Amino acid sequence: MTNPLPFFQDQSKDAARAFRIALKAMAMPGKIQNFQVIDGLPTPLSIAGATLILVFCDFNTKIFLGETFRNKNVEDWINFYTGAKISGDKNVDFAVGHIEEVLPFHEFPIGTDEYPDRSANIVIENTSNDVKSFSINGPGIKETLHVDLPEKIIERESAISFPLGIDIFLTKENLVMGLPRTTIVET
Amino acid sequence: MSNSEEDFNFAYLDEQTKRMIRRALIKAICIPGYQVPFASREMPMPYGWGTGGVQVTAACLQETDVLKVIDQGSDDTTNAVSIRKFFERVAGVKTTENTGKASVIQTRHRIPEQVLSEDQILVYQVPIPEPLRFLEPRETETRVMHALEEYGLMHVKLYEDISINGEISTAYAYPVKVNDRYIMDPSPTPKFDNPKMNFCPAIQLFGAGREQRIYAVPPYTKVISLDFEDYPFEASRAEKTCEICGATNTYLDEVVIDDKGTRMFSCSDSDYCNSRKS
Repeated sequence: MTNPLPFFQDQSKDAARAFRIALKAMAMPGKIQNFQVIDGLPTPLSIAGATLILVFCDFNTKIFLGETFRNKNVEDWINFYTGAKISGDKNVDFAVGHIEEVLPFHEFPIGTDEYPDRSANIVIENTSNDVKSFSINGPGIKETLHVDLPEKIIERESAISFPLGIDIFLTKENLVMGLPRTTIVET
Repeated sequence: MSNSEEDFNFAYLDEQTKRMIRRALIKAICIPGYQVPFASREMPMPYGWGTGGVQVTAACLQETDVLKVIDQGSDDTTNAVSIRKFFERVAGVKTTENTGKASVIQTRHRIPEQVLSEDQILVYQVPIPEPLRFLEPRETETRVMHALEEYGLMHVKLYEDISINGEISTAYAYPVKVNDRYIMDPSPTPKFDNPKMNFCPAIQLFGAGREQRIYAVPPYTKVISLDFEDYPFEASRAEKTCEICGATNTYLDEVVIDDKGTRMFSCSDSDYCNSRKS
């Protein structure tokens, strides 16, 4: 008898709670939200990164994994719970990786003029390294916020020409912060 | 949690459908005012009864939510009562008529008078999501018009209002521009409610079931009603006083109260009216 892979305790209710946290993160950029802890996830996936995969990915979704995430444990776990296709190229709906692994951002789909929603969600894992203070503005932000973001986040500008663009979740452990294409990031 | 149905998945929809709707909702939040296509499901109620709003609510509801449902501002009309009962039964969530106590509010054609908070979600039921639809019937064309930000036709429509009626006579579903980009239909809310959408602290989600579209306005987002310099937008209301609570600043319903055609005016927002009365 083997132990089941780590997952939500109650699929429907935990996923609903997690979605609301993700929605709030994207609706209020720059504010840190925290997910419920799931133990024993395959490394190096963070709780937040894994939760976002469980909430948004299924057999209709293609996932790009950064180099350090491409191991059997992570891929098996994603296959087992979501059935999502793990892709080698960047023509995907969802990407998970450290920031260096998902650069340059403009290689991911940014949508089309008529369907800007056909664009990637990018999960940048373990964002505590090489951070710098930025000020951010835009929809969902009441007054200018000052937040620590990875230095290279500034490169997202090459992938955004509103309404086209990519939308980013920054994660660390069970914490998540949203950075939709509408957010203006300035040094 | 008393009489929730155990044989249903939590909040009626299956998990795969919820994920599909949730993906659409996230994109809708990231592109304010843009209509995201989604694979709308058949719901156990007819189109026009809020199947879009119900699907959005079902995809958002969590166990701890307190749900309020209003129809034209009122908690006690058929549509509101049936949707409230539906979610009590399939999600087991608590419900309320108190705007301040609700975490999710599903609405048909009104925005509550009470100012909403950051911890609330307002879900609109939308019949026709495309503001340009009555001006251009082809979806392929309206898509291109939105892509090119080609909104002259909408201004012509408002101008024709003025040339025929001497004022912008559009009284509901009054078009707005969201975040300086997309023109959006605020659903058939009276234009009196339009200013409440601007910089609203709550998340506003819109679901159109038959038309298979979801759109959204994040909190603290610019939502401006279209107008002209010489004919500025006016959030009009009946120039009367609510005969139940005496409010002079609310949106009023005109109600026929006997066979002789006697009328009275009262707040359309029943919870707001009750809270002032007691």
